[in-house]
Amino acid sequence: MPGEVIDYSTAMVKVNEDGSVDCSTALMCHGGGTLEAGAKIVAEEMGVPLDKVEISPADTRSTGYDVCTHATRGVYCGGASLQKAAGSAKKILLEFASRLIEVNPDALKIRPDEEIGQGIVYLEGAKGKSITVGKVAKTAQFKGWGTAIAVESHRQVNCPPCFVTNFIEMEVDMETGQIRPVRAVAAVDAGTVINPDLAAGQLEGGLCRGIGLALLEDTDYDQETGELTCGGYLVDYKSFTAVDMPLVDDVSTFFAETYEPSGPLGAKGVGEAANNCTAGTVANAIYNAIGIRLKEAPITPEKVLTALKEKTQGERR
Amino acid sequence: MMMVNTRILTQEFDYFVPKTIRETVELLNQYGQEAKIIAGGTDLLVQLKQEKISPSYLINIMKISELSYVKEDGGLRIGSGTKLRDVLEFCAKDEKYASLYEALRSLGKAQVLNMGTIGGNLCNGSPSADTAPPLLVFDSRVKICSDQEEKILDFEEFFKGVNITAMASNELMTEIHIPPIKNGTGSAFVKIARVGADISKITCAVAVERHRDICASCRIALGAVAPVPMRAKAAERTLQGNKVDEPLIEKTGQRVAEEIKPIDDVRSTAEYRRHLSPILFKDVFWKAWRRAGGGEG
Repeated sequence: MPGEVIDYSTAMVKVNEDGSVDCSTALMCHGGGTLEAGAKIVAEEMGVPLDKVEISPADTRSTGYDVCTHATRGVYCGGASLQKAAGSAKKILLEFASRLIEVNPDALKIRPDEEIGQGIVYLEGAKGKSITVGKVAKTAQFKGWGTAIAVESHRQVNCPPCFVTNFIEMEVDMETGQIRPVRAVAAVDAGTVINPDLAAGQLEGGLCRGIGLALLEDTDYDQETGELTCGGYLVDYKSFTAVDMPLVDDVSTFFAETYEPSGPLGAKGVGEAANNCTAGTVANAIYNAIGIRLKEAPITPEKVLTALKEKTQGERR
Repeated sequence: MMMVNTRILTQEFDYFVPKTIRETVELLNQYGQEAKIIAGGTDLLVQLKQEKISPSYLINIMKISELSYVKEDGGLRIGSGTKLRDVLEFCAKDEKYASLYEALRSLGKAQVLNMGTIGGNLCNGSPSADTAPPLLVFDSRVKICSDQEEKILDFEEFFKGVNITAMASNELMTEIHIPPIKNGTGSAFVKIARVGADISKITCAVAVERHRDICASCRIALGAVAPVPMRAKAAERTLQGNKVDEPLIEKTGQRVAEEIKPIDDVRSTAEYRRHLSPILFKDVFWKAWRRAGGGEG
């Protein structure tokens, strides 16, 4: 069903005379592998080996309008514009190739050839009717036909939700109120997962940030002066790191095997979905552990202890 | 509070890098009031960047090799300029120093251990200095030098208030000395903090000398619960010479809670610290007691 969302990206893809492919996009990588995913999408669409695809350094002057990498749209919308530009550049390249090997361009395909180290344009089932991507580009260059290059904007009218679920085991010390995450599971439906290791990393990062949101991170203001009690210094704005998380072996991640028809190669995003449910899961786990519903984040040991005392006093009455 | 740009040092100062203790105390004699000593810089640089201090002179003592050592010589002797990492590695080899080892383990992560020095941890004068409670329970002493003299101070006399020590501006701490630890003594340290690498909400160290089920002597020290790292002496007296059992430790814990003087701050509340102190004490005591061995246990 077409939606109301206005979300678009712009990308440029061009084929070089050595068979390599350059891309330009306004997307940036926050550590989730967005650009790597973009290169994989282009390689797949174009039919060339991944190491032949390069994402160029870009700035505002060399890219089209884009809303860049945020939310769950980097791969979903930005990746889709790269796919579209790759498809258009490929069409031009195949037209050039059809002149050289005298085959209808619609009948031509490109496949990566690991031995030669670049893509090969070929006609299915016809021996001899093939030529490397680089040779097509180079011939087009000196014959003055032009460059196989395309710039495309792509609008996604929906942003299909990325579904994440967390299971977290929390341990509450009834004497000190200290809370420790013991084990955690995070699962995501992100459509086709293009970078499995990095998507798993995003889920783990989301857990870490979400547990921090539930238990620790806070901007506390002095009631009288209105100043931040941490003074605005990060030395007193604490966030959890690896040492505060469950051990690596006690965190598992899973992908639902789904396909999103509107996404590039069936992909959706992960983004902020990775920690949307974490704080709630932590609060639920604490409730299950101590039978008290704590509704105000962060749930600090000090707050847990006060709640435990109130509960005991209430039971005594 | 005015926000400052903590990415830069806006202050101007003259910088000295003496090679010997002699040279250092001469510099201190000349510039003491307006000078700060810098060793690892893990506390000092933060204070400089936050513009909490503005010394006209910085004296870097990290090039003074005679300040960096850990050795057993009538107890344990640690040069004040010794990296926390080196002290940690030494203490890891001998359970005698368990509480100091545990304090160093808790102190920070790789960066702080590699840069910070034990003298710096103490001379900063912080009530939450993690190495202070173990040094208190070991009855340590510190050697302090000036241009004129060298003196030995009981470590208990060292802290005078928040960020205030017994040292005058012309003095340099050169050595920390832990006297020989008696056989049958066990020690332990536990720290509670917000996250793994953090300044403590509360710390507790215990050293106990055990004769079978009798507590021959016990020293209890706590950090971050008073203007200075403190001994809980009334609690210690409860234990002295008595048969150790659960009710006695329970009672001692209550004494500990009565003795401390905690405050509310950015890391925790006075109420929470007071609540935590007996619980923490009990944990630390039983750990030290088991380590003391000395009979069935």
